[in-house]
Amino acid sequence: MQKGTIFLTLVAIGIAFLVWLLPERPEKTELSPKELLLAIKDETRFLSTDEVATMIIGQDPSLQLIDVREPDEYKKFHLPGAINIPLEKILDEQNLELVGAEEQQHVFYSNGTIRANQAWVLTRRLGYGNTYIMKGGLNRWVETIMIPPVPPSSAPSEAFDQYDFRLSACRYFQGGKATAPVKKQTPVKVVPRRKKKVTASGGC
Amino acid sequence: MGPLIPQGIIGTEWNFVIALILGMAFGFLLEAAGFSSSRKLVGLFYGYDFVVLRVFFTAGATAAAGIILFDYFGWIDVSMLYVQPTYWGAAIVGGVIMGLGFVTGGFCPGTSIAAASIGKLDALMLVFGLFVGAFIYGETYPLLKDFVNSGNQGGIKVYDSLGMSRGFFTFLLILVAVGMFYAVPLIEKRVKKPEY
Amino acid sequence: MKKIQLNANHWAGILLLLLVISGFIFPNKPADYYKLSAKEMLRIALAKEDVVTPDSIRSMIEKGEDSFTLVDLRTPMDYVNGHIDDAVNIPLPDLLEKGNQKFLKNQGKTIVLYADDEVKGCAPWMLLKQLGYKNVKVMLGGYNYYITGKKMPKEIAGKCYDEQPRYNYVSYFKGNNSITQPKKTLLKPVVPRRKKKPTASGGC
Repeated sequence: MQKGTIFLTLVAIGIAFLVWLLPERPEKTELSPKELLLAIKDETRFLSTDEVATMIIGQDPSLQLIDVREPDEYKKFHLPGAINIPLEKILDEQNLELVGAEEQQHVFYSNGTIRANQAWVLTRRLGYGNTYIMKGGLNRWVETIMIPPVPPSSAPSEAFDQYDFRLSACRYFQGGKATAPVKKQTPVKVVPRRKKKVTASGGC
Repeated sequence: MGPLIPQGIIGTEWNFVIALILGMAFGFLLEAAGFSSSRKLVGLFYGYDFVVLRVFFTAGATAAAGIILFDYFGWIDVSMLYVQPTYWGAAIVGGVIMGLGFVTGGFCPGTSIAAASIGKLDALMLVFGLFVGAFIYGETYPLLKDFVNSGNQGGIKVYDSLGMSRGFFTFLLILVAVGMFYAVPLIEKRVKKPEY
Repeated sequence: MKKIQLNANHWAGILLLLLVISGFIFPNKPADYYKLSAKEMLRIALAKEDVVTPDSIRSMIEKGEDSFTLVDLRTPMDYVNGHIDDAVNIPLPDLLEKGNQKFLKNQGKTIVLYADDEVKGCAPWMLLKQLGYKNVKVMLGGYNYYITGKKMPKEIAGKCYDEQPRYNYVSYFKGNNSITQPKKTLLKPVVPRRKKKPTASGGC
């Protein structure tokens, strides 16, 4: 009996020393390639132009549009409420801090989707979870919101509702009328899909 | 690799199934350790039987060392484990209530159910009391809410508060545990063991 | 009785020892990890050197050049329904699987990725780049553009097709400035990312 106890004591102390001497891993915020691939696969990272328009019109306080084009392009034109972080500067400290504000949904947009997508991949890799991409960018925006295609008469009524919404949204953005669109879609609350790392946020 | 559910290796719908299996194993081991006897349990307070201390210190030290080793090996991602936030006031009041209930009733919540399941009447009463208490707490929650939720410290950890490394704290924990395993028999020898 | 007790202790200790040793021998180190930092990746993305036009792919196939491997990132079903000649199908979800990684690593040729469009090819390209693949390129326009057989406009050679502004946005948004101002104030409360959150909400 005594022998066994001594043996177990030695094992315990051995493990204790081992635990003490093992180096700790640095806290991980970066996504592993596998996690990044999972996030890339997830189509919810894209918001449609309609969704973004709805959020702008509904004055969704959680919306933060980020224009990742060049400053001169931004100066020429940008969506209402958008801030400018050119893609080159997306990894600067203060810009990352902005993207990291967890209360907001950060929606990247550019002329098309690629630049916004690149900004998204880079920030997502670094662990910033609340980021989205406006699919199609400003080109799609013009094609859908500013000059919406008329749905064919055989289209379901949702298509016409959407068309109506786009027409009124178009008027809204042209600033002609300050009135809210006729058919205001219920704001699409986008729930971040990425499972939150529990401790990373300090006790949930 | 781990933790299995937050990493998505096992679906969240298995949560309750796994909880059930683990719960059954826990209950079985409580009973096997003799924790269904209130005399054995409260022996800790009177000093004639320290099996509670032994079991829980062993469990704590094993789990702490195991998690650190598994984290080092990459088998488990500690950053994904949930750390219960600390509420000072509520923790102290709750601890006092729990301790009083433990020493008067002779069981803590888990062991009371283990004991009730082998047919101990006092444990059955204690389980009943448990539900009454939970009911009262639920009903008076609006009054207690402010106090219960005050002083949230977040998921703080002892080693962070003490300013030492995780490994060193666990090292100390294991040493204290081992030291205790040698020390408590000396106390047990002095106190007269009641018949049970 | 005593002997059995002793053995049990020893067995427990030996098992524990084996566990610890096996942990050191088979650590679950991530199979793939980033070889490039996010900043390096950003530089590569901005350089835009890794883009290939569908035209050049087509002409290379016609010439029978063998200096590249086409990788089709679409679903197996899309692949069966039609793909570029000699393309290998690696569906996006399986991109990081060991066999596929091995295949890609042992190519020794330029790997040209394509998906439905260039947006879907962009993020996988960034992922592979960050994993240290040097010779990975992405086909502009994607498969949808390729099958049209259209030539890419000359002026966008080497740039992202998708990113070209197709409209003069300002003209579509006339009188927009009046909305911009109130919006900006509304979006002001940008809370910088907190490194450590002191608060926590229960219920996790």
